[in-house]
Amino acid sequence: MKLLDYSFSTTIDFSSPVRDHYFVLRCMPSPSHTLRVLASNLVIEPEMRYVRQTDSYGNLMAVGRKAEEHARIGYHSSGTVRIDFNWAQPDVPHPIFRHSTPLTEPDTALFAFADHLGTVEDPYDVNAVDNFCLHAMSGVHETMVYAPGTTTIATTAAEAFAAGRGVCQDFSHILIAALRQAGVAARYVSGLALGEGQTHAWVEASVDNFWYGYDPTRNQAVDETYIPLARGRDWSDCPVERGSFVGLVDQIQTVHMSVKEHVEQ
Amino acid sequence: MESLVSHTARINDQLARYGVKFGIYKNGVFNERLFPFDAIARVISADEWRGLERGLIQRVDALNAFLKDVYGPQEIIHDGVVPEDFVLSSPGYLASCIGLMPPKGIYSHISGIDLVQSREGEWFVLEDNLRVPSGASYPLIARALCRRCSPDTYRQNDIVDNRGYGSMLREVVDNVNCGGINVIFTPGRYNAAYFEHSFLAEQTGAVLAEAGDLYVENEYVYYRGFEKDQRVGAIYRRISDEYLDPTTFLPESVIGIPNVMSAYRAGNVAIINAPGNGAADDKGIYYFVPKMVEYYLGEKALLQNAPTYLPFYPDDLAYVMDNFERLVIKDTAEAGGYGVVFASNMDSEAREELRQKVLTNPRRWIAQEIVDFTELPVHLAEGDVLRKADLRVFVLTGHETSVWPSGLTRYSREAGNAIVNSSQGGGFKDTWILSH
Amino acid sequence: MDSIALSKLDRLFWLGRYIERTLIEIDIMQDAYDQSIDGPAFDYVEFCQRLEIPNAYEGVDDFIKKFLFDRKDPYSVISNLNYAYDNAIVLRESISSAALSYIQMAVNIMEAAAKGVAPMLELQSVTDMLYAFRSCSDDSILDMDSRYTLKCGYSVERIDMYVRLGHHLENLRREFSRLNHRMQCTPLRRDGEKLMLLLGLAPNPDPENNRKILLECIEGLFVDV
Repeated sequence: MKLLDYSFSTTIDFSSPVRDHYFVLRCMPSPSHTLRVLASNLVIEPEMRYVRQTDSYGNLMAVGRKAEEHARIGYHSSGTVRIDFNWAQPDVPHPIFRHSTPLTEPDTALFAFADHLGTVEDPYDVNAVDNFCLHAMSGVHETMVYAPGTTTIATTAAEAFAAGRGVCQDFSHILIAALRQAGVAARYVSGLALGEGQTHAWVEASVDNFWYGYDPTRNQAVDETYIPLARGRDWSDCPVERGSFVGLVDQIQTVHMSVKEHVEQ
Repeated sequence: MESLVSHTARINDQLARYGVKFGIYKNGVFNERLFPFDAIARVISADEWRGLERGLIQRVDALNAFLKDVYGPQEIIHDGVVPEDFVLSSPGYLASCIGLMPPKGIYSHISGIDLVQSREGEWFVLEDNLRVPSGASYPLIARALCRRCSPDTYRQNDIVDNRGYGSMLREVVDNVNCGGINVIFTPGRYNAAYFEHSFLAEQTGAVLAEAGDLYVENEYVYYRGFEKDQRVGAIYRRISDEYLDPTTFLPESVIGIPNVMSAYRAGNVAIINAPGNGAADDKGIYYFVPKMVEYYLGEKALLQNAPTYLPFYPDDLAYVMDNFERLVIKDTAEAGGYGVVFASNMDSEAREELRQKVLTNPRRWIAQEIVDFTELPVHLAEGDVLRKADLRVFVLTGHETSVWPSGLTRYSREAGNAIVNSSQGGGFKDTWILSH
Repeated sequence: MDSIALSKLDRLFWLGRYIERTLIEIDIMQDAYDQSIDGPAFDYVEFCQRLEIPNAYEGVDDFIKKFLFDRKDPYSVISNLNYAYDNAIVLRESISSAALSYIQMAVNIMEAAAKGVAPMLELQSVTDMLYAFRSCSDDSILDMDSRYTLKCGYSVERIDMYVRLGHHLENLRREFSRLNHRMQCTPLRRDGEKLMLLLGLAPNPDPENNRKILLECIEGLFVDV
């Protein structure tokens, strides 16, 4: 069990004011059996009206609108969560997590890579599936070079794999492609990991109807220090922020997050 | 009928007067053209219609049940009737709609079912259109104008009146309205079917709105009035799912309603037809519709598909390979009329290439027998000629499902050509249902 | 009555203006055309100056042809009629298909006239259709806000054109009083200062001397459109 304090801020500065700004945020911990939210706070500046909704994947969203002109918008999400893997319960994966998407569709090279990883010996044996996922995770980690700035949010798994480099998003897409190829249901997770800096992304695979997390970027099984914000088939289902506004502008986005172990006062 | 045909010039004057047009883009320029109308109506006897009507209601009820199922419990997949792959990898299957129940559980309120009749008189379904089927306004206004030009024709023939489409449509929209006004949402003046959008708004008493006229706040949709804003309870949208909401679907859409999905998710507005219907009118899913009728309704399907093969199944693949050159091959990854080829029209090299593609990825393709469909007479100044024609029937689902007693008959421009699409220069006819 | 969107009010207002402008211009062009048969040539140079449009014409015959029928000339009569149509086509459910059909017919006839040899008869029919539209829409537009917004468009354009062209000045005062009545019935907001100035000038508008101020006030009277 871990108690974690998180804080996550995104600021977008527009080069000139925009109006009729609609947004959908996925910046609050995504509910699951193993995560309990003890305290949660969302502040949006300038002040705007928003409602909380849940999307088809069970992610918590803040949906709102700012009609008046503004040149900057900031979201600050913070709180305390308690994560305990002992609370895990079976969850039959939606079959959609077995099918490829435009971002995770393998090409010939990625097919070959997935083939080379072998197959799950017994899909009903927890250890066999888990071992396969760990093996695939390490395979991705060893093949790929972590190189920020070499890929974009639109880079597909196949493109990143061909280039041999990328960031956590690309590592995760490649692992997802490989797992689905082997018949393992897999989903993309965007969230916060212990420490400070940027948001992170990892993969969850369905192991005998339990979701297990794998972090191909750090080459480690996900432990109780990872806070999921959104889950989906790939990155495009999990954007921290989706917006639509009136105005032709450049925007600069600044993101900062921190996750610390909670210390009782 | 002769007296009606003799009034062709007067009818065309009337169509020009009411601007019965459709738009097309050529070289990036928008042009509106009069939609050529042929006064010789397609006539369907009362008996024949009764049969079609029953089959169409059954088909649309099954398709609605299918949509409710695939966005919910997916029993039809679990029971092995439709392979999971055909549903979940269909581009029309929208993950954002999983678990969302539209008001009153209706997905396809207005279904456009395309039928053809073989030379032997048998009817076949060629396509189901459950997203934004268009075309009802053309026979609707043509009938009204023809009655003016040739009243005797309608006195002497017992033709079921089709002018109730506006009120049928209104009932369908009212039935799912979640509180507030009805709106017809158009992508704007430069859409191919703009005439229809504005005409149906007038016919149903709905407000015609486009991007910017509507906004969403706190899970409710509002129409921007000059003095006060009004809540919107139902949106008959005439834009496709991708463009509907830029914060859920295509982010670059500027013709949609941002956050409208949040109001829909909260059950505060009906979207007509429901988003996600593409999962049921996909080329690959078409094959399974008769099976759906049996599965959901426990009845034999009354309407038949054109004979279709799924190379996904080994037996079908063998058949397709053996009969390749006389089949129509359709790419399920392409929408609408794209990706449809007649193997007989290809040179042997291209045909062999396509054959290999089908062999490597059989799931992606379907193959159909060519239905030699019937030709109808078209009146020209120099005499009547025969042209291929299909029929789009409009099936409306409100409290219950009913069929509009008419339909859009489209004919091809050239003899022998089976492409009846209006953008290809074809024309349309009224469709008469006889009352006995 | 339901509240109508500003975008619709805006279109109704401009529909009114373009219809009125087309009617006035056809009226003037019929005289110009008649003169061109055997009378002194129509002074199109002054006409362009008064209208404040560029004189892009090579003589009076060229002017008559292009000003009436050149689709590429943004100031031509056919262009004005097409602008009216562009506004009307997106107002079908507010003005009714029946009323819209008169504008459609006016457009169809204007296009035929452009190809004909004696266009005056066709222009007469265009005028007929536009007057038919006016009475039909008066009857078919049930919503008062919409009906009067359209009428305000007619009045504003009429005053504007009378002042610009010095045309039918005897009717100017009557049109002021009509507008005064009509603007009480539209939700469009008015610029108070310009309204006071207009009301002050209405009894004795003297457009030769007050041209600039009158045009400014009438063009800017409604702040929403």
